[in-house]
Amino acid sequence: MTTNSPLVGSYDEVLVALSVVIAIMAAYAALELARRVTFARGWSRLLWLTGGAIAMGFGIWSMHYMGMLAFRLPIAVQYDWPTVVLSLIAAIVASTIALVVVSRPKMDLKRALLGSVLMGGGIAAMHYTGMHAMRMPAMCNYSAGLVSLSVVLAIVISLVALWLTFHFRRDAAAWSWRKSASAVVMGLAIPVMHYTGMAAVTFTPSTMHENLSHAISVSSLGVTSIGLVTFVILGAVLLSNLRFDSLPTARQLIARYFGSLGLISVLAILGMLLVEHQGGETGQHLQMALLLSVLAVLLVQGILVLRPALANIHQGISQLELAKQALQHKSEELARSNAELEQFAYVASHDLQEPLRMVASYTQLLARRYQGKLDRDADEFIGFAVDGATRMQTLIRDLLSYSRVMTQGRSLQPVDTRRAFDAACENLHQAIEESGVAVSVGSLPVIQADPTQMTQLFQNLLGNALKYRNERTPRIHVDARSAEKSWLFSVEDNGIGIEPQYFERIFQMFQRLHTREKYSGTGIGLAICRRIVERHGGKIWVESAPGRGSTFLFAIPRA
Amino acid sequence: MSSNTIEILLVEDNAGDARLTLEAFKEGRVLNRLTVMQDGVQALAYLRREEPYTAARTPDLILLDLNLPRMSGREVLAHIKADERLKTIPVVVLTTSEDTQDIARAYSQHANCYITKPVDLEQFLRVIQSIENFWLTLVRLPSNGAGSVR
Repeated sequence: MTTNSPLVGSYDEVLVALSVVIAIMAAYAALELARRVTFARGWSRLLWLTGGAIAMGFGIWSMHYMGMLAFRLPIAVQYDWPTVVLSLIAAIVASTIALVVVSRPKMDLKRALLGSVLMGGGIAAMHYTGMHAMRMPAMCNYSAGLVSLSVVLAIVISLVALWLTFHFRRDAAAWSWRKSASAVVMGLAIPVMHYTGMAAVTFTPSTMHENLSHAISVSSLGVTSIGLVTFVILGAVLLSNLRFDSLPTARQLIARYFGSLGLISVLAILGMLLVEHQGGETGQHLQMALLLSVLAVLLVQGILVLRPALANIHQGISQLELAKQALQHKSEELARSNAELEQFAYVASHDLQEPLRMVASYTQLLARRYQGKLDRDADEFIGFAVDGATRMQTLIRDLLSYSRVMTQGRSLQPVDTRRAFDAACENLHQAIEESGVAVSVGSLPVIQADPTQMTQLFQNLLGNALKYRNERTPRIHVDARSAEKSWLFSVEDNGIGIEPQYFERIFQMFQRLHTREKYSGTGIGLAICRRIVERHGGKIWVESAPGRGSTFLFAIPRA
Repeated sequence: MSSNTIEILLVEDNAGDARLTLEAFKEGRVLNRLTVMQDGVQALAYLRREEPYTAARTPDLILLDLNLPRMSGREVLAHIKADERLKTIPVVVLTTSEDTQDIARAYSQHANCYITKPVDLEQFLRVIQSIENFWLTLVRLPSNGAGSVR
């Protein structure tokens, strides 16, 4: 049975495809691992380096074996398993070298060349050790030229791989085109080296003379297992660096999830094709293995993705809960301190009234009894005292009514705003007559409001319109119109107007635009107006042009 | 002291307020004598001519503050209106309180009128003048049958 013509081998396309897929995955995992090893320190670095080298070495080795098994010879081929293990170790060593080189802070040409020689040599060693594990009734004849070419290719590919990995190691994104493209380039380059190495061998039939004590034959089931373990290990690497603490990482999660789904699909398709090839009992085994592999991938996903995801979601929810409680606590505290402040303002201004009444009354009594009876200085002093006391009384009265808006407000009820307006005019009766102002009014609606406060609101706005008049005959027009969800009231005058930069400021406490000599007042009136409108859930603002007059507008929501 | 002199009892704990009321009546036209009691217990003792007020005269008009030490104006009012001898004396509640409940309660206890003390002196003087015009001049009081004009 010995003939000297070389055996003609053929390639199983499915296994070739599988080997390429594994190579790409291994390359992608290498990029990911390089990043991890680069940024890890101490024990963590050692752990990543060891684990990474094993995962990556297993990936490269697995790719290589798939390629070997894809080569079908017309004779039975067995493998010497200790030699196979040796080739796996060679792959792991090569991976360790690669990871050490790319995780260095700097990479110069010398270091890159040294690294690629070591790594390429390691890969070539793995390859030819692996081929040496073949046990068959044939002789292997190596073509020196092609073997050299394959070693050179291994070194060149290692150089390219190291360079790419080193430059993309900072890319933390789970899915970027750059990273994926470099993985594909690297993944395609590795099989090129492998198949060159395969082409370097010619098998000539011969009698079996080698030691077969450790030889095993590799079934399709074995092929599938190698593929599966590789997928699981490399898949674990790809899924290992997930964090769920932000939206971008959540996007990564989704990218990876669909990535792994894609891998499962590829695996399933390849598995199906294998089943097609085999048929019979082995086919059933394969289907079983396929099912188990999908389950295994799902399990890995469950452990690596869902568990931390759930933990993070749980943590997120409890943090949210805590934040909610803290917020509630704060808002209760705020409400209480606000209520206390309101109460304080009310009590303070109320109790201040009493002693102040004494001061004011007696200075006024002094003025009444002794004005002109003492000297001019005394008259002046008394004048200042009376003026100060009177002003302070006004101030406290206004403060009191400001704090009353909240503390003493009545419940909202249907209020005829026309009646509130009339009441305000009645209260201002004297000032209206003295100024000779023409007050006109459109039709005013019935709204949900606090009647006393509506009167006060009109009174303050009308009072301002009366106060800030110019030399023209004063006119005031009050009107209301229906807006989308509210009633829009307007109080329009033809007075001195307000410059636009003060539109906001005038509604703040104690903000005055004029001296007391020119226009009296405490600067609280419009603050009260705003508080009243806000208590009704509305909004107040002003439209004005200096010298042309002002229109105060307030919107009160419909009930 | 002429028999035409109107007797007024002012129940007021704040000396400043009491003096102010006194000054306001001084500016009036009616001859009067104002006695000030500073708390509810004192006021009742005075009205009932208990020690040390055995020589006290029954007032023609009582001006009563509500917030008083020892016994509040509300209690004093209840005692006066429950006393056969005192209940005919007009009681003018004169207080700083604007509380509607205080007002309602005072009238339900048969106060003759309720006046909130104005903050402003001019207005206060006008109020006292009005009291004088109405209670001491216009109306006929049970004690002397008629108001007397100086």
